Amino acid sequence: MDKDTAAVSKFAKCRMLFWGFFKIAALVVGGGYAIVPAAENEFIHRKKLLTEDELLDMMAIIQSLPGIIAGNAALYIGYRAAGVWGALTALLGVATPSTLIILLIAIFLRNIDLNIPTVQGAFMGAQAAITGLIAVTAIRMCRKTVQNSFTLITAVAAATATIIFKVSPVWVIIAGAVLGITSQFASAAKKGEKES
Amino acid sequence: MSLFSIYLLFIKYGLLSFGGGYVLVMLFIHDLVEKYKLLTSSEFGNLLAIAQMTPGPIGINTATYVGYQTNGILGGITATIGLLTPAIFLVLTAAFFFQKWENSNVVKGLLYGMRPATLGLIISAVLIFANISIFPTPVTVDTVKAHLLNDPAAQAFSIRLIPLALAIISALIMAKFKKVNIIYIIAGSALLGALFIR
Repeated sequence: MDKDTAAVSKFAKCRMLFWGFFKIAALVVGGGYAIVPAAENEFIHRKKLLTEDELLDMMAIIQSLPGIIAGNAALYIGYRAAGVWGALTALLGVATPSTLIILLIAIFLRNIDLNIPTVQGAFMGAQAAITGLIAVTAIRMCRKTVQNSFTLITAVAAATATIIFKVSPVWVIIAGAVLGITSQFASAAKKGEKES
Repeated sequence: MSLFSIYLLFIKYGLLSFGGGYVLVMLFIHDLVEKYKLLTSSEFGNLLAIAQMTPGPIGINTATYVGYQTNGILGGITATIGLLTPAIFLVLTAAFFFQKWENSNVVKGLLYGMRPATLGLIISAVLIFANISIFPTPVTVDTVKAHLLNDPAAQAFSIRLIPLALAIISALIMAKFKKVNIIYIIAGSALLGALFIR
């Protein structure tokens, strides 16, 4: 009986993951980070498959690996929520809309001119909304993550490095990882000294 | 080109695409246009416009289109699967080990530093999105510097009011109602943009 309900709920989770990522991929425009507020909204607040910390961990981990941000996010969130099948259904959900749209355009609208004001206006409208949404997500995450001088300085340094010095995200995250490990072991050593 | 070699080629891109879609675009130009000559540069320009003007990750859009150009519908699907194949193994392995050693000092330390670093990246993404929607002249180090140095070629900064209003309204709705489906916010904003942004 228990096993039965677990199997059903896993199937239900996979379905949630597929449609959740299908919707996100179909409407998210202008680059990988647009997935952050969309995933926060869909999977943390609405479906409760993830916590806020897990979302930030995910962004950190998937950006230090190669691959498309949206695809990696689907794999990671799917795996955390429902194991390997969850990962694969989420990935299928994220890949299907854009593959279909591009195939349809390539087959039927070869000479389409998308450079018309209405289409551009729609894209700019969507990107403007995403600007506001990412800002809200960033503020929420600041409240949760920035709790001492280490986290504050690391966050400010990371933002400065990408905006002003155009450092690649991969290096920013690797630098953060090195700092984090150093500080973790330094504080562990201090604790050890006090105890001995 | 056979389906299998398309698959292998895109596995390679899936492995090399560190740091998002635009890195991939540079790779595609170098390889597909200049080395393998699968596309002419004007075809690629057209493709890039379509990839940017349709929703979805730009890497997947480009892979599907290039695969279709060389091998039809199956080619499009194969290229997309190839691009995503390495990530399946890499992300699942990483997710598995991070979950397994969640409580070890190494993983705790890694995440302790990676979380604020990622937060910094997300903050900088706000500016990236504002630059493609709200600011007609992108606010970057170069444009700000040109402005400060009174470079005669410097472009004046200004703000597009309608996108700014859409951004603020979207942010307020999301901040006030945690559970509202933001897909509707994005779709509604796109509709208003189509009607009013010129």
